[in-house]
Amino acid sequence: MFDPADLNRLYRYCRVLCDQDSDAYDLLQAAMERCVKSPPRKAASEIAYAMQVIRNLFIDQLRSSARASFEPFDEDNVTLDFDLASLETTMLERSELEAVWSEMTVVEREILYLWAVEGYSTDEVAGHLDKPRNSVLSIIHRMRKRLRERFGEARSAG
Amino acid sequence: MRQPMKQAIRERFEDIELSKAQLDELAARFGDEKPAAPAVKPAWLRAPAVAAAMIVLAIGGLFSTQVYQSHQDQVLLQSIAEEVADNHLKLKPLEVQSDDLPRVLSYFEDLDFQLLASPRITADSGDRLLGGRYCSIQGIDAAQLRVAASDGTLSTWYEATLPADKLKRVPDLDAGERPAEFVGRGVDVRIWQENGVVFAEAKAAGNL
Repeated sequence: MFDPADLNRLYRYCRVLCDQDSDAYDLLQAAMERCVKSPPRKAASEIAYAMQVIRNLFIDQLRSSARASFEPFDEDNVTLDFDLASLETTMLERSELEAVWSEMTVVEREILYLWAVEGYSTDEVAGHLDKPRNSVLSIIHRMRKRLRERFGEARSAG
Repeated sequence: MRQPMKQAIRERFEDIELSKAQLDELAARFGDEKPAAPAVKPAWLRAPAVAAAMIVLAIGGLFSTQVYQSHQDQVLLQSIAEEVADNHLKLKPLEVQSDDLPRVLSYFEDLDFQLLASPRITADSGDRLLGGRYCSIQGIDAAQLRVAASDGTLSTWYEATLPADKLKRVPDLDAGERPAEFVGRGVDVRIWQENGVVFAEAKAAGNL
């Protein structure tokens, strides 16, 4: 159904959602089972479909285990003047990325991964997350604010 | 060493892969399984679709050579746009870093065409040139320039050459034509030619 490159691509997405390697692998296996039982209607959308399945399963797991929940969106108290393009000039060291990555919420990591690795636009990210565009923009806004506070204006604003 | 956040995230995930044992296990469990086929509609439900397809084919048969050429133009331009978007998204390290356009252009001495300072590149004084690197368009060496707008938005610019049979398919500003525009993978791309040189510009969608 998927070649090794596709499986690795899907596994990386699982790793964005799960902290542990084993959890990510379990999630991938569960998603593969679901994809085999209920395949997408169009062959061209297999990867996107699998990523959506992974996300839905992950959310189901969170809900059933009540381990965590996605952070509520505070849309009214931010200025929605940033999209993902505003992160293009943010410069940091790899060690700094690791530090901020571990502090980010799952949704924040997802947004950054979909933008940086999968090449999604803000609208595409919003579509995948099934969130209003403004919700995604407010998350990006908060991320940029934290990056500015941590690394200074020059490096996060470009 | 500081690097663009996007590049750092990509590198972080490059190393994350399934082990061979895990790949083998997945192949064993799911490799031979074919996805369940979507339910097939009965023939009488498909008949209208077949009729519609035949009508489309009949109309297609009436297309003129000019329309065919236009399609071929689009195929080439779409192919270039996809290459440009790919280069834009990869954001590979710059080989020359300078905000001086003549200096950056002079770096590309191995190209077999003369790089030009397009008025479209230099028109917006708010843009800041960051540098450039070699790339390829349609398998031919080309130049990529990287520019930061005053709002921080990054754009990449390309100058390339094409064989005459392909070049004639690219909109020519000198002939009063407008740049071809494409959107894909979150990237807006414009393509045109001036003085026989192919130019392309790529930015995050919605910023062109």
